[in-house]
Amino acid sequence: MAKSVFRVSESEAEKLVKLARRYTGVALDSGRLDFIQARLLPVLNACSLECFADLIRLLEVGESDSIKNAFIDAITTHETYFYREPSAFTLLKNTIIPRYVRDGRGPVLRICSAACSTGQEVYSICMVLDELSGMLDQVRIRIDGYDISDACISTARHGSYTAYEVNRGLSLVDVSKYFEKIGSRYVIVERFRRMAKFKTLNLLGELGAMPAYDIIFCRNIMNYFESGDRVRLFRNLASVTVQGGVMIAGGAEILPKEIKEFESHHGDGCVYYQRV
Amino acid sequence: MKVLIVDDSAVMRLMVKKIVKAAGFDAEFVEAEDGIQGLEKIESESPGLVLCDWNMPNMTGIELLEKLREVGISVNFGFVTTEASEAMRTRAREAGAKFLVSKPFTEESMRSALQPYF
Ligand SMILES: C[S@@+](CC[C@H](N)C(=O)[O-])C[C@H]1O[C@@H](n2cnc3c(N)ncnc32)[C@H](O)[C@@H]1O
Repeated sequence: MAKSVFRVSESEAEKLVKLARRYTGVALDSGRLDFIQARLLPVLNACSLECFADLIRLLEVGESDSIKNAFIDAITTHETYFYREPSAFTLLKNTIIPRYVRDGRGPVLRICSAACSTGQEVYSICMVLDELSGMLDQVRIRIDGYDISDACISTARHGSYTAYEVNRGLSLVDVSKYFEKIGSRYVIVERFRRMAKFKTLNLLGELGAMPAYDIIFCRNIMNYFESGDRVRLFRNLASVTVQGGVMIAGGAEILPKEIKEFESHHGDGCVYYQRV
Repeated sequence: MKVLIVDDSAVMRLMVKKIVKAAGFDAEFVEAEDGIQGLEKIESESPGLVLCDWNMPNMTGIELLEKLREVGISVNFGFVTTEASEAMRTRAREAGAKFLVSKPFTEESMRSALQPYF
């Protein structure tokens, strides 16, 4: 049978795995040819490329931002929804914010959603803070969402979601309170969009320009990485967390043992970490 | 992807399989009833992911993971247990487990823990 240019060969898959690692840290399994192919065929189409070899050549040179961005977007998994793992938001509401206020920290409360995907985590945090507005009236709030995918960041900035996306995790009351229906889309209220800033960023790179955060959400990203990059991710985040600040990981996720910068604690049925 | 489920309870193995399927993951299952069988299956089947109970006869889940580290076998390994104490989490972390899903493992919590491997 003739070799199809739309099939990825083993040696091409290996190169693509290396490129994925270089650009994002995401560790793909080079043995899973079907997976790699399914993720990257749309990139060939969208960028009008004729074969995987062309894609590899262009990524290795690294000159075309549009191809690089399409590649990064295709190999990363963006699954997210409002109030994902609700216990984390209960913890924020019942324990972390009240303690922040009680300790008289401030006047600016800085919260980060590291790997925010299309913004649902950030806006869920906004909703929790909105419910606590009485407690926070003396506090200026800044919420920053970071993700390596340009397309995700653009969606997050617009705060515009489908009916399916808002129904996943939100009550009808929340939807009517926090969204404006424009055509078939649900757009997050203006005051939340003003509270939140989004930026495309590789969390494994230099985070020098980031402010120090009081609270960091870093959920559902670490296990896409290999051990060394998992350590690097949390060292990076530790470097931008204030002393005593809180880091919330995914409910089942286990931090690498090398990370001594965060100490684990329990509250509201979930584990969270405090910067030592 | 090949997923090895190590659990001494057939009911639990069935339940884990059901949840993984319901979460929409395309998995081929291999099963083992204790840590020793698990070790054999890891060697013979090279699974892409191991979902392991904690308490089992002969060799427990954590003993299995520690054994894997000792002999230098690297595999994506997570615990699925009914109970999870702080001490268990610490030991799992020391041994290099990637996640620990504990009761109640809803489809949602399982889905979030497993997504990176599919
Ligand atoms: C599964 S989503 C998690 C979204 C959200 N935190 C949640 O828990 O619902 C993982 C996100 O990590 C992003 N990501 C992957 N590698 C990254 C990196 N090196 N730097 C920043 N973001 C990255 C992906 O683009 C993706 O949007």
